[in-house]
Amino acid sequence: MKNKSSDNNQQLPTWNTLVWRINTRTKVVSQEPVSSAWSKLGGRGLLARILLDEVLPTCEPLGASNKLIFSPGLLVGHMLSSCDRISIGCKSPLTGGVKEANAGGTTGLHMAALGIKGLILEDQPSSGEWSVIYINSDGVRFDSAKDLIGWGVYESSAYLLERYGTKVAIALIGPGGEMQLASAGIQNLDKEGIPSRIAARGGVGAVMGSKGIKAIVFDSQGSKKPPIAHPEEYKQAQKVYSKALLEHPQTAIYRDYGTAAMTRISNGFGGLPTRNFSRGTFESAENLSGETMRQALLDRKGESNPTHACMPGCTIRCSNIYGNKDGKTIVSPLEYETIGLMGSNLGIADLDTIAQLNREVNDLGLDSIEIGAALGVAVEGGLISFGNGDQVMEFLTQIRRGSPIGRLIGSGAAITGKVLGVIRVPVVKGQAMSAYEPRAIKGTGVTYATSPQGADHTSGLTIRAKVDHLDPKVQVDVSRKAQINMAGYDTLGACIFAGFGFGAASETIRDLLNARYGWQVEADILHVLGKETLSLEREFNRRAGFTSAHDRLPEWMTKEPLPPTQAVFDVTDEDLDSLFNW
Amino acid sequence: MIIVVHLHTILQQGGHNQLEIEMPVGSTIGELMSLLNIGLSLEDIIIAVNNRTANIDQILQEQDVVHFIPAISGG
Repeated sequence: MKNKSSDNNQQLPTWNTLVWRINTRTKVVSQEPVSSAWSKLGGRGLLARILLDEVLPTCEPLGASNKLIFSPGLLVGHMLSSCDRISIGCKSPLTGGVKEANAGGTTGLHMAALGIKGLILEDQPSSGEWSVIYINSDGVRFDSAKDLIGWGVYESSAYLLERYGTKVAIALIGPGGEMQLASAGIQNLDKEGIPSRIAARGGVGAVMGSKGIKAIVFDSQGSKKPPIAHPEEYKQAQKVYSKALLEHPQTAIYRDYGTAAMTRISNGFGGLPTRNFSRGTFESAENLSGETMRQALLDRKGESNPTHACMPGCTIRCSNIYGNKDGKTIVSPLEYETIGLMGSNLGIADLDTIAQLNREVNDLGLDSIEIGAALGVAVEGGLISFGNGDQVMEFLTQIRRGSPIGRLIGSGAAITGKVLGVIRVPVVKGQAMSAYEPRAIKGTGVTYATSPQGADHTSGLTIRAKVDHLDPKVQVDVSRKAQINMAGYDTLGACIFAGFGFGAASETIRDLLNARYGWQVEADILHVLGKETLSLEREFNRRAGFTSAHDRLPEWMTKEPLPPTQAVFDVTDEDLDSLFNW
Repeated sequence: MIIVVHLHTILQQGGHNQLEIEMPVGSTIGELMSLLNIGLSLEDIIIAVNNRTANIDQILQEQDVVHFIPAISGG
């Protein structure tokens, strides 16, 4: 292990995969060879391993003992379609447990090209000290960030692209992260340099702010792609996977309609969160649909595009550029989750309004799911009305000002509910649910309850399963399978939607890993990685003080019937507790 | 009897994603699919009737609301 102080660029050894540590107080940087316990992990699995190995699970999340870790997935680095995602993790200031937040964009690719297996930010500087960390193949440098403090994400990233050039990747926080709000995420650039691919959930942005880091600039110019042990076998496996992905009918649907196509689907199952999770259908769901959005963007032309890739080389292109009536970009992307939590959940029936709110939330560097859920709770608390986009914008302005009311909403739905005396709060382990009503899509309710991440749909969405979503007896199996698969994909650095390609050609996961690394893993490697990741996460949470009592939905959702299905969440505690029996 | 049909994404017909269809009493979902020329295999479609998962053998009732969903998207 080499220890270097980093006032100036350091000379690094020739390219190799290494774990990099940066002490944010002393500015000491070191690079270590990857230990055998860590070498067969990446992304979310590696985060869980490092957290368990190095972070006291009872530590203060915004204190010096927590670590913020960036880890590209195992397949990241070669523009394998939809497989260049970055995992960012820590002990969560929102849930108090293990946290992995995941994003597309270009951060993963640049880290892999720099040979960074994992980047671990440790300790914290004295308060008021802010830096931009600049990383290239020559080394690491701390630059001053004092010019940028208080700046929104869009302005900050434009400034950084001018300072460091346009061929870099950037991970940055907005005012939300600077204020260490528990809803703060970390934005990453898409391939056009737009800073809106957010690692959103669980307050990872607050932890970055607690370490005095405004931005990390990854500059891999001059670096080569990571080596491949068996290039011919890799190429062959890549071909099979890419073909399976392109041919899957779901790929074309994502390309044309994006994630917004889910609005009419969840509405059709009575599971679209509406007016603070008080019903599962929204009378204006058509206005918020993927079909409506597609037509609007095609009509508006200009910068609008219903088809857009956030990562270079992605052939799905599920993202979009949402433009106004004059064709000028309002926000990119506008995704289903924001349409749900800041649309139907707030009784807002118009995509233009939601797009403007989304842009503001992006600029603040906040999780639109958590903010939308908090605002829904705030309506019940009497602070705001449903269906009023102007009021929502005013609250976002309060967050930017750091006023007490802004900090309240910015701290998320659970705290907002506690302070305002609202019981109807849609959270598990302190984290807000996303745009799938757990009473109507009970398998996703099981995921919300049991995932070590808290209420998190990306860790195990079940709406695709061909089951009766209202039957409590069949959901645990569905959720278990989904959680194992998702934990596996998150460890590979694969977008969930790549799962369609891998699902149709599952042997390619084994083949790609063996060809890339010279391993000899078996066909079940996705499940092996998924189970290991979940086990590591559960153990961290156990040591942090979590018990099965935390693997439950809020009581009110077990009692209050949800119109129109009149369903309650009635999966038994015993069944929930059996999920991780394997 | 009148059936309200929601066609999702690629199943839209002529730009219409919501239709009212007249069908004989006792018709099944499968017969409705044939009438609408929905050519997707059962693997590639999900069907909901009145907010519940349904299969093609289900017999339809007056004013049933049916969703035909190709594969599934969302995130």
